[in-house]
Amino acid sequence: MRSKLWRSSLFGLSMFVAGAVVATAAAPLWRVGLTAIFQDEYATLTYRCDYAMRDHLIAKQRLDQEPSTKNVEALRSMEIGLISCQDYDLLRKRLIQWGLSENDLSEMSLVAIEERAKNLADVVQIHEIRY
Amino acid sequence: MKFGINLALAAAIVGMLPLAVMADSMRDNVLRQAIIRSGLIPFEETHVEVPADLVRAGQKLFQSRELSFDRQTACASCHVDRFGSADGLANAVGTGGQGEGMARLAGGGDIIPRNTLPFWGRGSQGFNLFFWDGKVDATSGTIHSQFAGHEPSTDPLVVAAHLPPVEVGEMVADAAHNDHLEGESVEAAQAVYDQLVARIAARPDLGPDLAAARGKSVDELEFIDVAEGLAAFIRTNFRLEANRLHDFAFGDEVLDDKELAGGLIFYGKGRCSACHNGPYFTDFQFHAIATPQLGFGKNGFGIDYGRYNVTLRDEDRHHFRTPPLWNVAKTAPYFHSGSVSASKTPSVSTSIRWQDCRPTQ
Repeated sequence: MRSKLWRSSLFGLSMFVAGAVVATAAAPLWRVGLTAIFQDEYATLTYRCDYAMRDHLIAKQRLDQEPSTKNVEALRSMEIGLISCQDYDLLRKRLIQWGLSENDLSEMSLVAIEERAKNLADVVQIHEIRY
Repeated sequence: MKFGINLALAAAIVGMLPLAVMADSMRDNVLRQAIIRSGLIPFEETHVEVPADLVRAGQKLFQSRELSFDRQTACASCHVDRFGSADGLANAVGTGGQGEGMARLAGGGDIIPRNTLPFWGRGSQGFNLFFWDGKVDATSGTIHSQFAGHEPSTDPLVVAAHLPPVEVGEMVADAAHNDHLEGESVEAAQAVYDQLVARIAARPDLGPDLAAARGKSVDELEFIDVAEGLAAFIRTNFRLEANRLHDFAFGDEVLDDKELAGGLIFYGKGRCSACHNGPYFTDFQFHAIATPQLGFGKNGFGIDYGRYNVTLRDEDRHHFRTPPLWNVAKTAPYFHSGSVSASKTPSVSTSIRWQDCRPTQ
């Protein structure tokens, strides 16, 4: 009876250890899989949001420098354009909910930004501060 | 294990649902407000009522080749229902043309070097600027046209209806026997009008109805009566009606995801509504847009100066009136020379799909 109980406990412990090992090994795989599946969509939405934010800023500056009805309308259009950033935010939240970390998402953003970087000149062009 | 994964995924999806629903609802509201702020009004408010008997008489004239000096073309030859009241061609085919659509192009005839404009909303409330180059322009409250102060009517649509029947190549054959009509003088035009009116008056299926609608005898008919009849028909037959877009803005119509996304681009970062606004999706202004020129061009050798041909002001070169977009899904190809077909241009086709204004009935 005691031996049966001991064997059962050992089996339970083994299963727990095996589960922990599998979970530990599977977590990065899960993250890599998610990243691979959503990289394209994430890159597209990152681009769209970035584009919309820059356009919005330009429209605001233009209105500040040249107040006119036309420029007010342009700013309103760009405000609607910012809805692209909501798509980006929703995907971020979904991916975090499914287990990706902020670091994983940052890496996806970097991949998106540097997607076409083939050499150092491209990398410099992407990262240098221009004014 | 599998059950656990499924449960986790289901929980994640359910957890995201409220966010997605809120986002959709917000987008609907933003788009609805943008449409209304951009000037769309209930379609009934654009209507101009005209006598029904004049509309009926005008319809017969619209379909009759008697309005063409050489009896080769009717208004209906190039303004065809199945092409959304345009002709489905890049450049119109005037006198000498046979059939509709590509058959008309293949059949020969005089090429009119511009894309045929559809008629939706023409002559309705506030629609006071006509043709690609705005050669009939009443936006200032005074009509400016080729009649140069001697306009036959205070109604710009009636003035516009006077022009195609005297346009060489359009409804007057570009042939040696018509050389004396090439001068573009009011006298030459009047000679054509007189002959057309005499012809129409003599037709028992056209003259008596038009005369009765105008409260005249057949002998008293003038070309202004013909133009009034045509204008009445165009104004009524092509007036705006309810469609899904309208019902979304003012009713409870639901747009699908693609339409919603297209609409947000149209009023958002695409900035299409900067020019395509108001009840007719046009600002009634002239703009130079980088579109390819197709065909010989109004000014020859692939050149069309557009608005410049009317004003002769240098800054108006290559400017064209912002085209209205009602029923635009049916009126391809697009732009002043018809050089863009929706199917081959993604940015255009997105807007076109969104702007597909098919009537709901």
